[in-house]
Amino acid sequence: MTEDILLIRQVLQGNQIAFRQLVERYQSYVFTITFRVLKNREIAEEVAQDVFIKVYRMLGTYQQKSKFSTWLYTIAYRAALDEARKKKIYTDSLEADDSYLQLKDKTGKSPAFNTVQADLKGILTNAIQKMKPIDGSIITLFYLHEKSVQEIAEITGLSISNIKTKLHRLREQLRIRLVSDLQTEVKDLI
Amino acid sequence: MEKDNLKIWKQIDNELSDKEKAAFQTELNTNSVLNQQLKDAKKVDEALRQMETEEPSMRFSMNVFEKLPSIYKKVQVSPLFSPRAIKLGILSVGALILISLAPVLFVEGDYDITYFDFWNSLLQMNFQIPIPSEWVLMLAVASFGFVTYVIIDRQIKKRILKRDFSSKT
Repeated sequence: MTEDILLIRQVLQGNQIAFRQLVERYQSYVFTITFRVLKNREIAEEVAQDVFIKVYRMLGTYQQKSKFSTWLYTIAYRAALDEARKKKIYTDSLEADDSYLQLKDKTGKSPAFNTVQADLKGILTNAIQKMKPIDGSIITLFYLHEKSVQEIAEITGLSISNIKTKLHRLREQLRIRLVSDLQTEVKDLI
Repeated sequence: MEKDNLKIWKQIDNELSDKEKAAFQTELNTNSVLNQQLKDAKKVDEALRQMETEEPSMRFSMNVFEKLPSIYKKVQVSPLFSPRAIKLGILSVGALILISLAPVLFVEGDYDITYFDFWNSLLQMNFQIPIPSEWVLMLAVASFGFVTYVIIDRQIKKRILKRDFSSKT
């Protein structure tokens, strides 16, 4: 039995300290998902908090068919998407094509990418944050949350083949963009 | 070209079949550009694996718990009067009523019978036992006072504990 399941059982028996442990264990991950979708720290934090409240209320319905984290991230991802749609903040981004990640004009480099001592991880995080909500979430779930393609499909509601294709395409676009924008500086780093 | 590049990621994800792997390896040996792209892709993959989470504010978990009043009540509030004490209180009030009625059952006096007139007319019965209005008033005040005290005390207790809980967290 995983530690999560033990904590959940304790919460269901009325142990609220166990729920605090669950919150503290997953708060960064849930916040990262909502932030990837909503792109605004305040709104993302508000939604992430509401996610935990929803989870507390729905904990009795969790049937352990999937990992607790998968169940939790599904709620977080869908809550964030709902909020984005409700506030119509990212309507354009949600429907936009992938042109933002295509090769840019060589003269129109992003300032962040011109930093000679740039941190590759930071640049990648920045690039992911500029992706469409669903794309940024897929990359985040795959790498940060170490979710399998099948689990990501469950969380996002997309097909497995769709997730695989997106993962290949998005990472390739990231590589092209990094190599293109950073040119020799990035080549030194990588 | 694009297909070759996607093959790079399939190679990294170990999704190529044996036949595709062999073909890709052959191409790598002859294509220096593809070779470099694979190296770059591996570095991007490695960097992505080292990506860190975004951290919420320090108040995050506290805010979650503030939004969960039911949790707070269960954890923090132990009412001054337990359910058992409240039951005993109600029984005491009942006993007080019986005790207060006892004298009028056995002692004759010049009582105000308005109270019984009301019940007699309502229930279409004929009670002959008079009750002094002072007793009724006293019982009503005592019962009302007890219930009010319990409610006010619980509310005060909650507010004090909520203040303490907020300052601690």
